Amino acid sequence: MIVRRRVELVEDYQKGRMSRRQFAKGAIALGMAGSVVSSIITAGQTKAAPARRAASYPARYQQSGGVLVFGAWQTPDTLDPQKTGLAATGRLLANVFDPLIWQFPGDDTLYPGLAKSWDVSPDGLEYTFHLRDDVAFHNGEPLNAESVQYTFDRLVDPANQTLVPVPLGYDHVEIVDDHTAKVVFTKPYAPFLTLLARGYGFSYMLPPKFAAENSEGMGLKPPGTGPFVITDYAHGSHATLERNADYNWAPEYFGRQGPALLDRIEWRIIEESGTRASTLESGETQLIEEIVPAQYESFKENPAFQVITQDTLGCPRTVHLNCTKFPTDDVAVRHAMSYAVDKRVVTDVIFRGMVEPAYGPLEKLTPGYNPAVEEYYAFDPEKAKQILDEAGWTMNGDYRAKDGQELKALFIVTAKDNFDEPAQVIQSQFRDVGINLELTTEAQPTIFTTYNRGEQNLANIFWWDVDPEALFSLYHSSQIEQGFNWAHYTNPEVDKLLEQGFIEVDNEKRMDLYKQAQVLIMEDAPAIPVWGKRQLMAGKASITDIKFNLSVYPLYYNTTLGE
Amino acid sequence: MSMAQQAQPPAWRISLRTEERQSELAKTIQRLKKNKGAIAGGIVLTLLVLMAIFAPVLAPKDPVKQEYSRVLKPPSRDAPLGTDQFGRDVLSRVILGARPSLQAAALAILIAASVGTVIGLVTGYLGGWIDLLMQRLIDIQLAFPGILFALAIVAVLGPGLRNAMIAVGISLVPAYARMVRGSVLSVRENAYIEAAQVMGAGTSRIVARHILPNVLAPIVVLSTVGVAWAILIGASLSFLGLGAQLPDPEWGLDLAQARDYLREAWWMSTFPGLAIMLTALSVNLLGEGLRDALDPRLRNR
Repeated sequence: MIVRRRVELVEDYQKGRMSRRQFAKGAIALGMAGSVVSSIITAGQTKAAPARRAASYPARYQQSGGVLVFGAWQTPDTLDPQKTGLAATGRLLANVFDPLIWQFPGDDTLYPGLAKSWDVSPDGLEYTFHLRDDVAFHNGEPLNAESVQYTFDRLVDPANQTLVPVPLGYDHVEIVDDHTAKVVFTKPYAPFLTLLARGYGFSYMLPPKFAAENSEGMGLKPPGTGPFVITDYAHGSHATLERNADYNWAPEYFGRQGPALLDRIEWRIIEESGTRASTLESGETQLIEEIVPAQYESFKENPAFQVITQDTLGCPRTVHLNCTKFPTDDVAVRHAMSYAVDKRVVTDVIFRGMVEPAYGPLEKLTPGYNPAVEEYYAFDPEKAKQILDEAGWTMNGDYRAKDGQELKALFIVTAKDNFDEPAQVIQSQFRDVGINLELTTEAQPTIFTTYNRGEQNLANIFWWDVDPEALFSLYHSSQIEQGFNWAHYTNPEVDKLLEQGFIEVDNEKRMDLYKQAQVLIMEDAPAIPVWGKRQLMAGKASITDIKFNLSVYPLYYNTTLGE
Repeated sequence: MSMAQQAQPPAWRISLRTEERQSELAKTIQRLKKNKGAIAGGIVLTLLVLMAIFAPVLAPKDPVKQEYSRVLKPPSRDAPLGTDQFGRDVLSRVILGARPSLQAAALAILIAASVGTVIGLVTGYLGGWIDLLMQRLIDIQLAFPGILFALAIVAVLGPGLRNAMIAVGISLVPAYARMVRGSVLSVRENAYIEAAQVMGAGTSRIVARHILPNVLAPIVVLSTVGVAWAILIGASLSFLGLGAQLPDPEWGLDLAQARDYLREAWWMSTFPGLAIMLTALSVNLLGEGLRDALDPRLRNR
């Protein structure tokens, strides 16, 4: 039901029946990939990159932690954490708000945040959070059980037009006492704790009084409990984040307490990547995000700068092989294709070492990642040829054929998605084993409809997520034709494992379900994982200690300019 | 048979026309020879066409073979024009890219010239409601910028160099139709047309035998200018991913692919760009020479 709506939503947006905002709301409510949504949204925007004055902040650099001038790549649509799915907003808010629970990439530990501790009832229907009693919002409101209740009430009230997804099966929040809140579900939803730690949407606790009285203000200068306070914000231009002097509730992960080290962060929006890089080179900024391969090489080689990388979670940059269309409906063809691709050429030649190869349907850092996937399909063109020979695909001129039909597949590449060159590498490597790959390009969002109709043999896809539930969106049979299962892949066993994954309360058992599913998916080869997504930033060499939350948004609590 | 005899103009008229035409052609060639630009353009264009014809023999390497051990290498003895981001030989791609680029331009002009000429002849000679209708349709088409119109047609036909060139051809039709119609309007007022009509010649015969030869010169000129335009617009469409398809070499597409490497590999964009420029320039020079040679107002100089 939810899934059906995804396609309708994209179509409505295409046909102009919805505004950009409505689309974003619907899309995020349905849990569509953040980047997919944001790229659709930005595709609709025609605003020119603002060329802002080159204001300078001399002398003050030297005082204490100093001022960090940051070059951001995208304009936040709003700063209200419940009304956006844009990474641009998320990366700013990660330093302004705190979650109840923290979790970090590559670390399965759940760290206490605004909640000192929590209990989960054995049936998985009740989560009781014991809150800290020493926390205050930037506007002076205390954090208490009412904040938790208000945060969820606001999220589910349609009048508030929130855009982030409500956790499946959520019912209500009960105030047990002033600093104890109980979140009640009607049916178990296992990813809940991880999603609370995600640093996105309902992860962030809101100040009830301020938000109720000043709904607009939540989109401009929302007061959180985090280490930085938004003191100035101009849409499309800049934001100023001042240090919160009262902050004393950092998670243990940071290894210290007290206020942040930086005095201030100047958040400048510089949308054009070349301009962003030149502001770093000229010293106008000290840190920039979203660098491109050529910049990666030059910043990496220059000792005055450093490149900061953080692998992301979810599903890697993947090619989905259509299991219902000739010739990729033949599992031998899919196996041969999997062996024929040398991912190292993509990562090392095209991206110049900026990214790493991916091996399975999940990114390495995603909880429940099964390292066994790395055993599959190591680059071996001879093996690919042998598989095709055995399956009856014999060479006929440049390419293979069987029963008079040429081994020819169609790759419809998503435009402006960084896949043009990797697709050409794959085309060339397929040619080496006798597979004819035709490349065409189509733009978002119409390509989603094309992919769902199954006109392609190969489609490129990726997914942002913090939980292995991502596999459901890409490989469950209910997501065929109306979701993101662009491989049109059906395996009843995989379906069952992924359905159980939603309700299994025992974390270890739950991860085990996903581990089994990953192996089954590898065997059926509906996908060729190519490379892992990465957050890539460049900054002055002296900048220290940037950490990332589970959404891979940078956290500047411990950061210094190091001067 | 009897029709043909009926339509024959008087003998003195025929001989005069033939002599006029022969000397006219000779004079045109004479005038063309004096134009150095036109000669240079003709020579370069001939070389480019020869290069396209003998491309498979001339190209030193397989143009689609990716060699990852030598990506983005500057021009050297091994790769005279350097290599691209996949280690492919730029020289071989430029040589083999001549084929689709030139073929496509020729196809576009053939479509535009034939369809446009027919429309122009029919509407110009017949006039009446057909003329009115066609002219309004052409007005509508002229309201769109050429590239936009071509984009719309490609969207319907689907991407691919052939479709792109059909689109370019169709988008050029109004220019021919308008120009031919204008020429026809002036030619048909001539006494010899009236004479042919009086002698009972059929419409198609008059159009084919008496009007078409007299409007041929401007069509030739427009076509030479159009070839350059078709190559450029074909390159633009390939640049947008709607023309030639990967991995086949095509100048416009290669230029588009090289865009991201401007700062570090100048040779990737320079050579396909140079090939496009040379073709457009040589065809333009030749076209300009032809125009001068055929323009009655310049004949006495």
